[in-house]
Amino acid sequence: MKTELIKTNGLEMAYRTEEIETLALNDVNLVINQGEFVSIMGPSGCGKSTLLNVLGMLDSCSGGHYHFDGEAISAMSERQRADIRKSNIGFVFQSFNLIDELSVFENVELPLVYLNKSATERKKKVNELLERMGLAHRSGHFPQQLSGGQQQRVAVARALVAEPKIIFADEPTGNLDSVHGDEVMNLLTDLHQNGTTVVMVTHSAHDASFSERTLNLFDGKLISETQNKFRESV
Amino acid sequence: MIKNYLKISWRHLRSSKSYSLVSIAGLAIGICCALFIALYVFDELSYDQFHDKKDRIYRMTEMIDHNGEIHAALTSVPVGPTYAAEYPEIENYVRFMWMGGPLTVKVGEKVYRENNLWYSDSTLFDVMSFKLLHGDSKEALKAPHSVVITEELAAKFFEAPEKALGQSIRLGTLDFNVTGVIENSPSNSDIVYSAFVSITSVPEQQMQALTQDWFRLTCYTFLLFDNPVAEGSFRTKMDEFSKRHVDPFVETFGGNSSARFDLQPLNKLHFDNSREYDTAKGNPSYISIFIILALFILTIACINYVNLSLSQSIKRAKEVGVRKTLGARPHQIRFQFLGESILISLIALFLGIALVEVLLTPFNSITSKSFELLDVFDLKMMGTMLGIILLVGILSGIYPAIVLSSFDASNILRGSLPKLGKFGNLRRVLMLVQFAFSLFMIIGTISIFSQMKYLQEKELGFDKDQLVIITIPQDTAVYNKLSYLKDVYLNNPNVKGITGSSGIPGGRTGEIMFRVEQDVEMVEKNIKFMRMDEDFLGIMGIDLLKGRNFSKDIQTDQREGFIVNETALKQFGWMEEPLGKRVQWGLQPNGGAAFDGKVVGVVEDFHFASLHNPLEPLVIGYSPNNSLLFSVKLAGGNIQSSLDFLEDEWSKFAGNNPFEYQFLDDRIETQYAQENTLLTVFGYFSVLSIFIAALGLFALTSFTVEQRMKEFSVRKVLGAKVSDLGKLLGKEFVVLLLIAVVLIAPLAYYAINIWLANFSYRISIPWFSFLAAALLSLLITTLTISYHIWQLSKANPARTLRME
Repeated sequence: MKTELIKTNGLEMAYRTEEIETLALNDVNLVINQGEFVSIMGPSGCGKSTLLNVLGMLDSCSGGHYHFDGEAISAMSERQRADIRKSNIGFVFQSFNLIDELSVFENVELPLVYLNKSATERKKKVNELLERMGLAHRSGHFPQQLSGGQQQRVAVARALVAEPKIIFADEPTGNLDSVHGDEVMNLLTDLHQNGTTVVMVTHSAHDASFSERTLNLFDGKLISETQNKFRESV
Repeated sequence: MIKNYLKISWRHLRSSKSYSLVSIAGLAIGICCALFIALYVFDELSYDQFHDKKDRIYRMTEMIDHNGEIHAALTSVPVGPTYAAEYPEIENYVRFMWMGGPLTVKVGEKVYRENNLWYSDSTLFDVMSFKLLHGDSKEALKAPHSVVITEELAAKFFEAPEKALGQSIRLGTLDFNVTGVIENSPSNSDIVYSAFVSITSVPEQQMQALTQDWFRLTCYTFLLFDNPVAEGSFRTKMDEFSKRHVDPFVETFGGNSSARFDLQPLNKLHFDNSREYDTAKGNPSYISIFIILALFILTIACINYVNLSLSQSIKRAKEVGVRKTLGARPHQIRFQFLGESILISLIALFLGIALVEVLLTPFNSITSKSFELLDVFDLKMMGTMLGIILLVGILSGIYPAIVLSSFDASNILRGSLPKLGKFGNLRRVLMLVQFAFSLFMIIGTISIFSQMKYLQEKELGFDKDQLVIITIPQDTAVYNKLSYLKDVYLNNPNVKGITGSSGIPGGRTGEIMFRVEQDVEMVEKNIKFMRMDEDFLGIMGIDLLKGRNFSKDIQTDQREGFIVNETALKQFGWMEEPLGKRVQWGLQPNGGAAFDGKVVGVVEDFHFASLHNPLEPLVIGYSPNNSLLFSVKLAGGNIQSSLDFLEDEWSKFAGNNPFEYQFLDDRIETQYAQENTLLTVFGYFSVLSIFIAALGLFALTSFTVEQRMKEFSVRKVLGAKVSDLGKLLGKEFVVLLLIAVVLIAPLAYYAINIWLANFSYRISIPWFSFLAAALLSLLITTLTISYHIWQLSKANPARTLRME
């Protein structure tokens, strides 16, 4: 039986300036089950990233209900959300967002630092993960010394290291050429096949085709949903 | 976690080298200044604190009212022993009586001139904690003609301190036996000594006269009590004492004078300037000024660091966003950045200490101290440094930490730059404070400089140029040949004149008791007094207003002739006809006087004391052959060869007595040594504060440019000229500067007025100091901004907008 990991009900997100209110998300109702690979598509400004930020608990919604793993997130404080976020959610960004002053190892290690894991445990986990992702030989390098594809793989490794229940990826291939882009998509597909839930925002129909299901967003509303034929890694 | 923070801080510092350099350099300079001030202040505060019994030692002072009140640091000779004998709570006492000086000391065939020799009681080592290195502390100063000399003198006289004991030295005409070698005078002692001579060596007749007189202010008297004395608790006893001893003494000569006593705790002595005839003292207001300056410069450095950190914060925004996304709480971010600023202050501290080492020699020469680098690592200094680190670290780190921790992670990671709108006002306030402090420093420097210039240029009533003052040793062999020397000197065409006197402007002018004719009565008064020969007025360029100068040909002038100054006329009511008014000195209790004469001349007022003091009445006596000082007026031209001539001739006739001279203008300058120190410190500090503030301004401008790059680019695309952008950028800073001028001007005016009140002759605060400070700051601000405007003019707006 499928377990609901994410469930929203009438989700709304409004941005207010002095005179006007913009509804970035409008009555979004969706369910994402554990182990799913879902992509969110739509034109620029339709609210994709906003939705991802709300689901990823970086932002709080201004209306409606959001349940994560059965817990009502919309009623929680920033601090409570941060606690859930750090142990359950991994992020992958379009611009990688690695810290330039930290090495590959140290970047990947960072979430474990905030989870107060011991140095021995951190070392073991990070090394295992870098080995698995073919980045072990780059462990002591700094982000500027890596290619875009490699940087994004490091970002994925960082997202995975705390073994989160779900990974949110915001245009993960947006800054990459097609070869490196496919490399990253294959990585996400592998993760999904090994049981990780992945939610990805993308512009690209090609990238979306790696997922099982695509949610189409328009002007802040979920307007349709497409089931993709699952494809093997390319 | 901390390791992670340290690592990233260190790498960040390395990756932004220029930022790190500027922020650390600013803090290091600030810390260096603060360390110097701390060294100075602690040293001043440590004066006399090394005496083990300091809490129980008090200096007794005497307040005499004898037709004019004088509150002296000195007391008469009987005070110490009589008090100690009558009050059991006084365990012991010690007196210090200055032997005059510099004194001629003969050791074998060698002749030295030494200062700071004191007669002292044998109880010296029971009361004070000066360390006796060789000799018996109980016996050393008991027998007449015993002398205890410092390690330094012992080494100079006898090669090694341990060889000094039992040796003989000659002071004046008497031989003294070295009975002890004492540590060198501690640099933080108010009593500065090079030798102590047993007080029993004072000639018996003189001592007897002194012991019976309660009005002859002769010695510093220190009393050791069995317990600390509560303020005022000994007052009644002192009043009773006066009634018991002084009043009967006054009755013997039938006056209505009085003497009262007062106690000063030894551990507070250094900053009590209220007594006359005191040893050199610390100036408590200068301590406060220096502490304020240190705080000013540290604040400027901290503000500078805050501005630099903020200008870097955009670069750190991504890191904050990532950390927050990965679970960092705001307090963890704050802790990280606070830690980073403490780390930077620590690095700045090390650099600051290195700077102290480099600048120690000039600092010592400015402050006349002798600090070493080791002094920086004294316990109090270490405490201060820890304080500075925490203060600077927290003060400078807290604001950037709060700003950075408040960044919105989701926005940053989407790529939008954090806006610092709500923090903008505080940033402006900081800038305002920085401007205000720098302005204050500039205004202060200009005002002090103007006052010093005024002092230098003020007409003193005499001609101070090309005058060499030669000190004449108290050696009868020399005295007998003075007139011969005078003739030899005068034969040289470069010597325009020569005069002998007991005192000279810029030196200390003695005050003695006179009787002067007032109405039809003879009234006793304490009046400044000096003696001179007949050439003094001419050589000094002092104008005679009425009457005549002294004359060799008038036999009575030496005992009966007096010249007075204009102020004396005004104060004694002699404006109508001063000549012939009666003057007496060398007063005897029976109403007689050793010198009894009349005013023969009146001179125009001249400033014989420093310009701190108002003009006072002065009586001048005639002494053609008994001078303590020779003033030689040189012709212009080759001063050095004239000096060589004076010295050569001196050595021919003065035997081993060294040639000691000083130019009169230098001597006058030394009266303002403290003010000159203040001016130098202010000068350096204002340059440094301007420098640090300019760094901060530079950083803030680059920060503003970065924040408003899009706006500038759009304006440029739409046709704005570089000058338009300059106006846009500069307006905010200029407005802030103007507000700072308005805010600081009254404060500066008030503070400088307080300082100027130290002088009887002073400038009114120069209005141009405010204008100059404002213009200078404006110039520096404009120059700083110009760099960024130039950068803006070169930037391609299309590129910026594409990036946006």
